[in-house]
Amino acid sequence: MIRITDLTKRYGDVTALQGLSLTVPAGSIYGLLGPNGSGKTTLLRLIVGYLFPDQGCIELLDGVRHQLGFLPERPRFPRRFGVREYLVTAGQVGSLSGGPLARSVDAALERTGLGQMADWRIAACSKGMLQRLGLAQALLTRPNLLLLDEPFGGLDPAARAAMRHLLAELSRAGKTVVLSTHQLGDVTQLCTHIAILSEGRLARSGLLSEVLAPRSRVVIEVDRLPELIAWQLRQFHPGVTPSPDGTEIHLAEDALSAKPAILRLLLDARIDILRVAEESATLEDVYLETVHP
Amino acid sequence: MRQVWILITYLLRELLRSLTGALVIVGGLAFYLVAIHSVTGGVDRDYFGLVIGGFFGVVSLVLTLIIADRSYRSTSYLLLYRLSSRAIFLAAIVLAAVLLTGVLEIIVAALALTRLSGPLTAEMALDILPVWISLLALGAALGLHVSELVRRGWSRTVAYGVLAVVLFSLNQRQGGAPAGFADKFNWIPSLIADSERWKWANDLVDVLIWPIAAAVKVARATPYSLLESLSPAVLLLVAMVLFWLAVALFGGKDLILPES
Repeated sequence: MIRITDLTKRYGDVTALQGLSLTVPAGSIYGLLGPNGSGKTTLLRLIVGYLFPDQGCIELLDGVRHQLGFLPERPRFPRRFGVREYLVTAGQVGSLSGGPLARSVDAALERTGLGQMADWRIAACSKGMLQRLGLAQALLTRPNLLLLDEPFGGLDPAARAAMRHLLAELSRAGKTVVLSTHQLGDVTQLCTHIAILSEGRLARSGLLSEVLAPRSRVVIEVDRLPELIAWQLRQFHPGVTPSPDGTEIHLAEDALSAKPAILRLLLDARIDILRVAEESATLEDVYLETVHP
Repeated sequence: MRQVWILITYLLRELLRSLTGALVIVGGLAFYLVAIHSVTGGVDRDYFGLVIGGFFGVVSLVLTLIIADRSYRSTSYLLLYRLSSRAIFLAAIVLAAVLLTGVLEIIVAALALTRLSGPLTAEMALDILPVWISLLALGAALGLHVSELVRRGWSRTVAYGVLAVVLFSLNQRQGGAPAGFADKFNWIPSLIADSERWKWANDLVDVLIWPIAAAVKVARATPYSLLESLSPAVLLLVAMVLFWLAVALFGGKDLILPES
C-alpha cells in the first residue's frame, strides 16, 4: 500500500527524518511510535503531500493518492461553520455530491457519534468532539488509506474505546490505517504492525506479534533479599536486576541461561522463593529499550 | 472547476462571517461616501473611471492578501489534501477576492452613477470596464505574492520591492510629487533618470509601468493609440503570469501552517 524508500527530510539544519525505509502492507493497522520530535508527524505530512522530501521517495500503490483520509494531530476547523455544514463542504471538495454526499455525511456523523451534534456550531464543540469531527471528515470519502496523527488525543476513555473499535472495524473492511501515537496500550490492542522511530531513524519495525514474541523475561519473587546476595546476583549477568525493595529479581531475555544458577544460589542462601514466573515483554519494554538503549 | 467554485463559496462564507468581512463591506461603502458622495458638484468621467478602478484594484490586492492569510492556517490542511493540485486552492483565493471586490465595485459604481456629471455612454463603459477588470485581476495576482501563503524565501520582499518601484515611478511620471519624508529620497530617481549608466534601469521601469500608464490613459477621456487600447489585455496577461508564478512557488512549498 505504501512503500517508503531512503526518505530524508530536513528543516534547515535540523534533520527530521534520515534514510527511512519501510513498507506499510494493505489492510494493516500500522502504529508509528517514537518520542516527541522523532519524525512521526513529519512522516505523515510527507505521505499526505504537505511536505516534500529532501531525498528518497514515497510510493502510494494501488492509486490511493486521491483516496486517502487524513486527521492531523490537532485538527482545526472554521469556528463559525456548523458541524454538518463543514462536513458537506469537505465532502464536496472531495468530489462528492447529491445523494452520495448526504449519505456519506450522515454515515460519518453516526460512526463518530456526532449525530446529535450535527447542527451545532463548531465553536461550541469540545476538544474531544473536534477530534471526532476530524475523524468524520477523514472518513467522508470512504478512503482506502487513513493517516491519523495522534487520533486518541483529547478523547475520554469511552471515546477512545469507540475509536479503537471503529479503526478495527475499518481494518476488517480492508482499509489500511497508519496512526502515530504515544498510547502504547491502544497500539497493543489495535495495531498489526509497528514502527518505532528514534531521532528521525527507523529503530525497529515489523509485525507487532513478532516484535513482542521473542522477548520474554523471568521474574523471581522472594521474601527478602539481603544486600550481599543482591550484589552476588548482579555479578551473574548484566541482565539480572534485583528490585530496589529486595522482593523481586528480574532476568532479561539474554540472562535466562543464568536462571538455574540463580535459583541454586537463593536456595543455598535459604531465601524463600515465593514465585517464579515467565512474563512476555510489554510494548513499553520494547519501546523503552529501543528509544533509550 | 467544481472544486474551485466550492472553495470560493467556502472562503467567502468564512470571510463574510468574520469581523474582517464586515469591515471590508463597510470600507467599500465608506469609500463611496468619502470619495464620491461628498464631492461637490458630482464626479466627472475621468474621476469616475480612475478613482473607482484604482481604488478597487487596491481592494482586490488587499482582499486577496486577507483571504490568502486567513487560508494560511491549519484549518486549510483538511481541504488541501483533497485537491488534485494546489493550483486549485490559489485559483479559488484569487477568484473569491475578485468576485467580492467586483460585487462591491458594481454597487459603488451604480451609486456613483447618480453623482456622475453627464450620462454614461456605451463608448465610455467600453473604455472603462476592461481597465477595471484588468486592475482587479492584477491586484489579486499581486496580492498572492505579498501573502505568507505563497511566500518562499525572499519572494515576498521582491514582490514588495517591484510594487514600490512601480507605484513610485507611476507617481513620478504622472507628475505627482512625493511629500514629507519621501522628499529626502528624490535624488534617487533623479540620479537614475539623469545617469547614462542607469539608463537600462530607467527603461526597465518604463516597460514595467507602461501597461498601467496606458490603461490610465484608456480610462480617461483623452485620445489613445491602438497599442494603448491593448493595455488591459497586457495587464491581464501580466496577472496570469504572476498567477502561474505563484502556483509554482506554492506548489513546491512545504506547508507547515500555523494553528491559531
